[in-house]
Amino acid sequence: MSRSRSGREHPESGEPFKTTTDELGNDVTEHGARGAGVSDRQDVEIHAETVNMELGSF
Amino acid sequence: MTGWSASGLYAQALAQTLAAGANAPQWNNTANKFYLTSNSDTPAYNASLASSVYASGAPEIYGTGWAAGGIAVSALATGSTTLAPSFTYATAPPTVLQWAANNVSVATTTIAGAYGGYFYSSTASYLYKIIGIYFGGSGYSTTAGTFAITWSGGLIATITCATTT
Repeated sequence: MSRSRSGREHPESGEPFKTTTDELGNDVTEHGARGAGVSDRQDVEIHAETVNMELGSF
Repeated sequence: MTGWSASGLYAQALAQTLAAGANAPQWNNTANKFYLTSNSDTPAYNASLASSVYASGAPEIYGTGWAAGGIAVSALATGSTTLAPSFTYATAPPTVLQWAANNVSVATTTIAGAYGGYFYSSTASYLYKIIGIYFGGSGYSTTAGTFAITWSGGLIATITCATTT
């Protein structure tokens, strides 16, 4: 299940934003309108699992 | 089955590294690059050495702020700084070799539909893919925004060398 959170001022863009964490655990942040301007900025943050490998026989 | 389904190490390229073979990919070389692909790409971690290489064109994903061929490790972190990949070790049982790096964060990109990406060696004519990173099963896009990858625990990969110290 995805979940969202929003804020009035993103620390980088200074714009209202909504961050949605999808069912895979990755974040998509949409930056919204402020004043008369409209931003279409969209960020992505992938939360990558560590690749694990084993050598030899245990 | 086509498309991305898992992260993984390219076995024969890894063997080339371990054996210090010709043009062996050096994991911590900051001239290495990271590139993105669509779900038309099906990683083959068992590919022959000759096929374990970067190739330009589809299904690579690139766009504004993200060049074709990918971005050098030296410029993949915040502010176009290096990922500074390094090896660390966990010596309590099990003994684990850890490949650590700063997180990926590239600002002001516009790309569409990235399902995964690869670190690959920059050695001319031997562009061996070292590792594929699966994004989980969705295509991700940015618009004039930051494309970021956060490594779990700061680690791209681990290799368990022994169950003991």
